[in-house]
Amino acid sequence: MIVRRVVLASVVLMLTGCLPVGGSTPIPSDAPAPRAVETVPHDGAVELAVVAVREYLDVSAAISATGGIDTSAIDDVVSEEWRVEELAGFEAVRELGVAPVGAPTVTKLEVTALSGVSRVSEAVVEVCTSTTGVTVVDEDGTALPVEPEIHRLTIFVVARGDRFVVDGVEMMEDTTWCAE
Amino acid sequence: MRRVIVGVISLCLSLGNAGATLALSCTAAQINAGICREGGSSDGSGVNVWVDGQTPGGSSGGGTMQCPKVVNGRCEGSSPPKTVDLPDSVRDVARFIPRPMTQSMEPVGWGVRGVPVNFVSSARTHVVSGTLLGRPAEVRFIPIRYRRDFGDGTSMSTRERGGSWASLGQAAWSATSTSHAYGTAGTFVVTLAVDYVADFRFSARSWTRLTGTVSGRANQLTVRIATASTVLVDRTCPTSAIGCGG
Repeated sequence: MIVRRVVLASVVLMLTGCLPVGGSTPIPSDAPAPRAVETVPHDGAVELAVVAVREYLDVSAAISATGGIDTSAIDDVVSEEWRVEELAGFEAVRELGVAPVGAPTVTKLEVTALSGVSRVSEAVVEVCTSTTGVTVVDEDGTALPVEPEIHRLTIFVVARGDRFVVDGVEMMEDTTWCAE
Repeated sequence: MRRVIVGVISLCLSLGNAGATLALSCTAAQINAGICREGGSSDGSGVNVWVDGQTPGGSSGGGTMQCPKVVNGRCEGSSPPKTVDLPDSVRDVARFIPRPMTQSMEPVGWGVRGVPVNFVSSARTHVVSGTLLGRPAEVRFIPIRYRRDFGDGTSMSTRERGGSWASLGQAAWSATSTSHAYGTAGTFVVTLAVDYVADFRFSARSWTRLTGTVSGRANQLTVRIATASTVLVDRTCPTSAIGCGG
């Protein structure tokens, strides 16, 4: 016990001797160090955002068409944070015993926001898709009577390395913009 | 992202505002499968679907929705006080889109090799109104950069939107801050992208500058550049002088 107290006292003494001179006192925290914000050059960012969105839609459709079991390909086109949502999404579809077969058609696409001036950390892409080419089938492969729809999506992409990956998808109720 | 605590009362008031844009956070797989819905049965196929991947009979029990409404990807309508994000980035107001803009040129659709063609954009500071979190809101877009691609391998980035030769008080065919002289004859497609910074406010409040920029694209212009030869004539051509041709 005495030994432990001596050790503790020594540690406290050593720590107090480490205070920076004239600087602010660092506050210890269990929180992980924040990740550095990645960016891509402003020039070409629009094109990279478009590529990221199209890749995401294609990969998602391909995974769904094969039953949504092997989802590894999605890792390359989404952020780590959004990957959790993607896996839950595939699982939700699987649990319902349905599978969308075929890829949606992009009918309108516009990059509406870039975050950053000389370099871009994230972008917002408005997309309209048509599910005309998508058939929803049940576990027996029987097509369900699901009407084709136009969807308006707001897709958020963030820089990862020298490209963008998807970091969020929202489906908008109002699809007026798609018909404009 | 600044967070403020919003009480139940103010939340209910905001939800009472009609016209809020509803957005559901879903994955592409869910959307394509037709199971990204505000809740309830999606159609007559017997597929019961719920927001955010919640399936009937899950932890919520018997298909009871835990989240009756999702606005801007966040659950609203539950109790008690909850956090709501106020926008501080252009990403947060992504549904506010700058007004469509146009670009024009002098002369219209053509030019002469080596002689300036003057390009003008209509993009100006403007305010777009809408709703955010169920409340009336405004976003002010301020153009900060005009990026033109002249289609001949050259591009230009300026802070000026440009003006007609007349409005600038300059002679026709003179160089301006937004003009371009093509080095070769041919047909070229000119594109224009405008970068805006954006300010945000709820109605009658002060403006808050958002981080990031928003980009908008104008109509494309097709310009035909011809070569010209100088010919000496004995007086001005309108008087049918010798050498003025046909």
